[in-house]
Amino acid sequence: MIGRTILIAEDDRFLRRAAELALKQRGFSVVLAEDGSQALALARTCQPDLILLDVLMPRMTGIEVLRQLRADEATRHLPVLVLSNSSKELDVDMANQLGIEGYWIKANLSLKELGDRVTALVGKESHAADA
Amino acid sequence: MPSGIVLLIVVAVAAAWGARTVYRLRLNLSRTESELRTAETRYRTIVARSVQGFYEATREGQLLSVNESLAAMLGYDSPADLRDVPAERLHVDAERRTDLWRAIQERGFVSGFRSQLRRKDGRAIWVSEFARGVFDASGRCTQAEGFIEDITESVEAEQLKSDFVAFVTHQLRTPLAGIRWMVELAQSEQVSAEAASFLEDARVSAERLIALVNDLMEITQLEEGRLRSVAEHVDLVKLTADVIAEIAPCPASRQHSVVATGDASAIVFADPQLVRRAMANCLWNAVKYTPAGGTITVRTECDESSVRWSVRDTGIGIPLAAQRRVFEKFFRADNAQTVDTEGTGLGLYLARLIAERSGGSIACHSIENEGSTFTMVLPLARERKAVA
Repeated sequence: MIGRTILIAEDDRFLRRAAELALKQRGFSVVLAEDGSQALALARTCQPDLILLDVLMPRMTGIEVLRQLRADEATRHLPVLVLSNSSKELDVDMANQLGIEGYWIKANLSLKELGDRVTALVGKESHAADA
Repeated sequence: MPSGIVLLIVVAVAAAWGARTVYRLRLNLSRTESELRTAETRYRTIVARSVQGFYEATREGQLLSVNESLAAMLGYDSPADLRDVPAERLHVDAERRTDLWRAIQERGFVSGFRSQLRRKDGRAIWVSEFARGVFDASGRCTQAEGFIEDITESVEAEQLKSDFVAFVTHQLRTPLAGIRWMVELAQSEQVSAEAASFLEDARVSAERLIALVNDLMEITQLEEGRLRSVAEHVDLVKLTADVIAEIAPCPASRQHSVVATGDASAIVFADPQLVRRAMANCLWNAVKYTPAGGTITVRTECDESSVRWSVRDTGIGIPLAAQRRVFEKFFRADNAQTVDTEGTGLGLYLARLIAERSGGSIACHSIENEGSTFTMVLPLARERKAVA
């Protein structure tokens, strides 16, 4: 069985690295994007099982990425979990309207909680045993 | 006939006295009438000339009377010009208008209620409103009268401040999340027992700092009245039980006996998450500042119009001079400082903001070394519907 792929769109390199390691430990395949436009391009080509999307990113905000994902037939269906460190009402409302699996504040999540949530969303990982 | 003369004199005196009384009464009556007229004219003048906008309106949205200020605030030529406009055209957000009438129906009044109104020229302004309901015999609010203040400028200034706070919060949270996650990764590695204890201390410190940033942000939003809140019917007895159950597993609370009593009809109209937070903060305070083996009593009592929710402990108490200040931002009493150095002085301030935001108040009563009682008073919901 093929492992699930998670796209992490995060401009902060420490958070990107920590999330990557935590998800790989659970047996997920991980694809990384450092800014909004990379995230959009990788979402189209990799068709990940879940996108962890930051909001405040260079070149294109997460909200704009989400808007373009939803406007494109090829990416409309991709599940997105917004992981931000700001909870501006406007962003939360907009993200909810565009369709997301959740809006979480990164600082309020432990890596364990993050891993649990990802697992709950995409189903049990297949390679956990040999990780 | 001496007795006849006496009688005559008595009757004459009585008649004269009576006439004088009637005259006096008349005089008083006409004086009262003219005073009333003067008072009414004065009242009308005050309302008409008030810098605040004034209105009387029906629930269906018909304006019965408005003053000059309100007409000017909304860009209309005269009160008569404004009076013909249906209220739904004045409200930018129809839902907010529903919220307003619902709150008046439930609480009898609103204070500092914010909404946006549309001017004649189409421009939206922010207003703050104080309004009181007029109720019919069946208890339905049919009309409201209220004062309205244009707060557009201060709302715009707040928006700038709030954007700034959001930015700072983001800038603080990102490296904090980095520390938290990296420490967690390190904790999943094999390290010496000593290093493991260092990592655990680092994790606890990072989480404390994150909680502090969250509290500060929440306080800023509450101070500005911007925190998103959803008012509904809340059963305070049920909520109390939830809060007690939440803190029960923690070691500090297991050292005390926690007793709760309550009136089943204690229903308020407020945001359950916020009220829960205020209750939890008061309860934590009692737990933290009571030496092991203490008793904490939570009471929920109703009178005709309000609910008194109180937490009484057998703790260290608050020195008299500090009692007035415990609800201030960042304030900590000297004796609190010696028991627990980690407190931020934000918990009770947050509880006060929430109580006030919910149309109520909070107070404390304490005797040093005997204990403290914190009492939150919230308006009782007018209709005590069954709460799911």
